[in-house]
Amino acid sequence: MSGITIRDVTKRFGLVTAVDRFSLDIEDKDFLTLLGPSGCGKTTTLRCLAGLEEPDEGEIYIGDTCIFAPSRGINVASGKRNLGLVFQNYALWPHMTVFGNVAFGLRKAKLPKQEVRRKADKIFNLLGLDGFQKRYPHELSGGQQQRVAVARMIVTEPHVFLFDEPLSNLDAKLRMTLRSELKRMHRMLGATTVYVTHDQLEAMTLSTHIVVMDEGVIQQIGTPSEVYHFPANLFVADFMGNPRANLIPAIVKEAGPPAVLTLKADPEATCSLPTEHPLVENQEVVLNVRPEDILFTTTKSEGAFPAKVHTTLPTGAECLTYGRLVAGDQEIVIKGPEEAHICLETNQEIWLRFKRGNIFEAASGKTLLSFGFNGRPMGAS
Amino acid sequence: MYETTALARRSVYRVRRAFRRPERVWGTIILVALILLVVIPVIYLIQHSFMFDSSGPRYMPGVRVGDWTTFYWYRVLRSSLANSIFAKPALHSLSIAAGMTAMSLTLGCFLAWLVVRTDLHWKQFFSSVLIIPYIVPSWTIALAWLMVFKNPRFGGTPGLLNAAFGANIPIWASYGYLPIVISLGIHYIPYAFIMLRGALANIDSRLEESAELLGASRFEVLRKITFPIVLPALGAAFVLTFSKGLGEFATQAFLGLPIRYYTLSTRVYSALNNRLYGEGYVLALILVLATVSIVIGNQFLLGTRKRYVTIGGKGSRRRPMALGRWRWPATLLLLGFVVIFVIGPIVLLAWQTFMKYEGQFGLSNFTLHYWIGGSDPSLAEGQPGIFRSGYILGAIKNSGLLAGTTALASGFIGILIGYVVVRTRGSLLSRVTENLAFMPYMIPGIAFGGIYLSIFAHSWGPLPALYGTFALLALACVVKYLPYSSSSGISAIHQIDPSLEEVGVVHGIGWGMRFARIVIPLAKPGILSAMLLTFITTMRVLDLVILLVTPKTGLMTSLIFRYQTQGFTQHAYGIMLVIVLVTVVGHSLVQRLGGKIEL
Repeated sequence: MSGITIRDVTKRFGLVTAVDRFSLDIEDKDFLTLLGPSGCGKTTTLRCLAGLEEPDEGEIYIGDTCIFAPSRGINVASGKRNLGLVFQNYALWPHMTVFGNVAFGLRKAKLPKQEVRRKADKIFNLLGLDGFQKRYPHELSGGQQQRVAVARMIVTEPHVFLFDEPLSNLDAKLRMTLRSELKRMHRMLGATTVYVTHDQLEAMTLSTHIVVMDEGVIQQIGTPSEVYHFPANLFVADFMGNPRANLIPAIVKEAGPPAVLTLKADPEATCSLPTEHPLVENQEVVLNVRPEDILFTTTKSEGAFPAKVHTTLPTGAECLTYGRLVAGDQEIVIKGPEEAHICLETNQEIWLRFKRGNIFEAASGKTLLSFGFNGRPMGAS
Repeated sequence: MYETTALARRSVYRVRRAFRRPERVWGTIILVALILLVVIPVIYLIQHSFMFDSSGPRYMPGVRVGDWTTFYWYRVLRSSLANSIFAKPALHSLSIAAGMTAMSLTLGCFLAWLVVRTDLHWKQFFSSVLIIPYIVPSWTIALAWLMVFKNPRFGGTPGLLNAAFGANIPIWASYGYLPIVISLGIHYIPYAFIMLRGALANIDSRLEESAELLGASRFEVLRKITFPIVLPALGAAFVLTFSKGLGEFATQAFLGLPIRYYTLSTRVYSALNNRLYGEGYVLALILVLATVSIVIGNQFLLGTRKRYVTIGGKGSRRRPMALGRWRWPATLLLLGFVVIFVIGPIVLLAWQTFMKYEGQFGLSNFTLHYWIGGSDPSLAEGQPGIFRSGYILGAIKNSGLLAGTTALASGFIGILIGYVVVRTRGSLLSRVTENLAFMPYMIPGIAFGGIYLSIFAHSWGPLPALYGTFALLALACVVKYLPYSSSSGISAIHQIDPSLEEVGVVHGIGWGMRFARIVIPLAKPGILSAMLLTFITTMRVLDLVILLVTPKTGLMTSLIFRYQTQGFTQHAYGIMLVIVLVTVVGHSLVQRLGGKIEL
């Protein structure tokens, strides 16, 4: 049906460039998430796509149709772009009933009354809103309101669905339920979806592709697993993951493979890594390892960084251990099964090895190589 | 060839793009309208105060109408007539404004303190009844005053005191400064009362209690804590009262003109009414200038300090001060005040309408003639009763129609201005529109009416000559009340999240439909009470319309003015009662709707 192509879209507000030369190809039926901290330009991008903001430059296509190209005088009106949008606050019209809200979206189509009712009822049925038709938005729970907003969007059968942080006003448990509902709905209806969120868990669980943005610029485009395991740069590595990934400044001692790194703060501490490609000797790098990819021993071992335990935080299923490298003041987070961590005591010394991770060039923040991923492609796309 | 098509396409694109931002399109339309109806009239006024009017050749043979001159400024400010044209009236205006402000602030503060801070009885009752002087026309008390204190030497018939006790009322008690100050002072009590009531109720009592804990006496707390905190509210009340008092017309006309006691506003009226336009323009400009400087001066003085009025908010509720053995005396005293100055005038007005012969206060003189009687040549020169006179009924209809039209139009335009101002927030358009819409506030009604009289006497620009039409009255009222309607429009639109409309945009719903089905329904609650308030205000307006009405477009208020000067007192007072009834009922409806009083 409708892929989306965005070419060099730039949007400025006064002196601030909210979106900077943004280019993206979204395939048909894709569920693409724009992910980033607040103020990164993700919502502006979505609003440009929806036609609620007018970019200063660039071109946008939905399918083969150009919907925005100022140089050729094209700017298809929002309502003619054949897309639907769910707002963060749902933007349900408080003076209309649930039915009124959903049916109002059908106005443009000028359908006969029975047809409107039939279409709306079908959607109510699909989203489990039967029996709520005569209620007003303020008489509904947050989750129900969210569903009405979705119903209003899909009732006009747009080719593209847009979501602007649709779950961020809900409590954690409800968010989980609605996440799986959205995923089911996307599978069923198969419309190309662009979803804006700052919640990486939402992005990871829902998307087929994630675009990580910062300061109006795309940092990385990839599948959830690519973005998580092979961050393209330090920003993505730092932003993705909860608890945050460990980022350890280090210096290459032996280029390898296998490479040997020393801590920047302590050239005596060394650690060997299962790399498959050579690095450059004496280069300053940043070692990026997920908390779950750290192995530790309580006895001294060669080729491992020494650290001291600070606190352990058992969560039931697993345990987080916070510690510090003995040299420097670098905080370390380790995640693992509870039984392995529960015996650790404050100030106990442990030795760290790294199962898999990424090495970034310290100066540029770009990925040099990844290690420990057994045959998976090196680095990120 | 290619270039022209590209250019054409680009301009089509630009136009289409502009229409996709309807707030810009409407903003531009409103801006043009505001410039035409507010800015240019003021410029016109200034310009024509420097030109010879048709009276010019009489003063100075040889000059032509429209020649540039400073003659009128000279005549008003420096000539041998300056004293009677300008200096004395200006002094009167200022001293009236000062006197009535002092009176209304003192009483307003004291009453607010009694009602908010003490254990007075019947607080609820006093709180609502003390607003009445503000709801009814400002000259209600003036008319009632005349009825009681009228001196037969000037009014023809005796007032109540004279008739009942044979008291020989001195002139200064029946007309002029003192009666005007008292009438206006009472009318403006609600201003200070409402503002101080709000400020006093909002003080966090912990602020005062901490001072008490530190050993401050009750008087010290009042002076060092309470007073400074409510000072900004007091200042605001002062400016409001003083600037409005300067421009007051009706009371000063009723109580001043019979003894040729002039003020600036009555001078403006008589100059313009006698077609001395140049002189009238100069006087009107001086009046505008005085009001503007007070309002702007206030913004400089209090603009920044105003903020701490609301500091604290709802702290713990303070225990009201016990009045002790003064509790009942204070309550009864206040009740007496209300009976004499709030309810009394209205009862007196009603009484007057039932008197067959004016000034005979006995029961034998009772009649319903002035309400339902037919024409009787021996009474009021054969004027039939109010409900029998086609002319009066016509004026009632006109007033209702004018108030209704003004309320509807200004309510709608208010939403539109609110829409433009809020949706383009941060832009120059937004700021200019908001400020221009506020401008009529600073032009006293009599001056505003004078300006419109001159401008619409002939057609200008795209506008036809409107003098003598109902449309001119409606236009003047709508523009004059824009400050109120636009401020409630702005706050109504503020409550509507832009996304509610953007959903409509995404669904391809056009602006007209979005406005009618989304914006207006959501703005309705706020706008409805604003409209009702405009209705009431228009119903009781005199100064704005007195120069603009013609016999064909007579209104209740202008009729009262005429009947009062012609001595048809019963008719005048009867129509007055109709207005009082409409405004009081209208106001209680506003309160039902939860609307706020716009001062």
